[in-house]
Amino acid sequence: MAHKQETQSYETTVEEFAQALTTARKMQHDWLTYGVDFVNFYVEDAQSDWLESWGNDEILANKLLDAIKEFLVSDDSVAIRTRKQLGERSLFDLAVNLEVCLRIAAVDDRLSLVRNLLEGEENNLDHNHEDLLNLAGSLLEKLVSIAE
Amino acid sequence: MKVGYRLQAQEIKEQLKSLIEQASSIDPNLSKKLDEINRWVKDIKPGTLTAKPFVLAFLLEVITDSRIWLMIKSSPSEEEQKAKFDLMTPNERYWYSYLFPKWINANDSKFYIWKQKLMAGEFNQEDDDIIKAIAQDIVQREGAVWKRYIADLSMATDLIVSSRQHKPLCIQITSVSEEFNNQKYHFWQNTLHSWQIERGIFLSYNPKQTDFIKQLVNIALYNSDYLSSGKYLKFD
Repeated sequence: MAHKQETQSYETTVEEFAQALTTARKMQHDWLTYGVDFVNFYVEDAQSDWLESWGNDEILANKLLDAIKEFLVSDDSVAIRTRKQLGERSLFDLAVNLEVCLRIAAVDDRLSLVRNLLEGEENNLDHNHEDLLNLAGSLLEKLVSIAE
Repeated sequence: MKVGYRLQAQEIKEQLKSLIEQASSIDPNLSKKLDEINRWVKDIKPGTLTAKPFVLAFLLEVITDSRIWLMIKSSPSEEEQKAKFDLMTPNERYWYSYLFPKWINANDSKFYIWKQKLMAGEFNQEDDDIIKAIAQDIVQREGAVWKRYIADLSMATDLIVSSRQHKPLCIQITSVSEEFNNQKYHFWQNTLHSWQIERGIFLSYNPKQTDFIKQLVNIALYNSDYLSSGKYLKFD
């Protein structure tokens, strides 16, 4: 039985490989027929500004991270409360996580994610949960305005 | 990239990134090369729009080749790896088993000039058309060609050609009118040598001469069968 399975998966990968090779050949054949214009058969918006904007998202993301870091060390009352809440934990790590949260998380999930980030892994029983949620809300509000 | 399905240009970047990640565990050197390409593309701010389709063609090709390479590299057994190489034509085997892995593992000193080359319009429609016409003629005469941007940019090879005896030969095609032709020839020799390419021919053509394509193809097909190993030849 084991042998049969092995043979099967072996065949699948060689078959997948044959497909990849077919793609490479087809691409070359299309170049041979149409020249460099063959790219239009593979890419729908070859004429768009894809090249000009390549990497823009990364640059923007870095800008956002910089802005978040700047905010977190500022005199803003929300930033001061955040630092107090964070205690010994890394401000940089928080900034990185907040940036990811802003960029990727669904809008509805953001508040609870920011709250979790502020709370950290140890569940401090002395916490006033309402205070924490409140701080998370204010911080998120600030971050959204920074991101805009 | 499936045949018949058209990508959004944005997806090309995503595919490149996912390959960088995939390669990091299978072949870290490929991962590094792809990462370099990603950063290189980011730095291109094209002065000329004609460069754009070439960059795209280059990316499509690199993605296709990387995918093929990772499939070969992650074969669970030598037997399976061999089965994959057995599916290839001699030119393809030469590329995927010899030159492409060499490129992956080499510290490619010419990499930095890629951007300049592409942007300087060194890739232009006219050259592409001549190489295409030569390739078409070779195929019509039952020879086989394999054209790779990496071979062109790094290995001074416009086409890999084979004929009846299935022996891949690297060819470089250049116009006699080109200034510094002699310099280009020495550069070509050194480049082939540095990549340990066994056999190569350097073909100069005169665009004013009629039938030059047919002549170049004759020379390429003949030499792919008969040029001895360790030889680089120049034809004017």
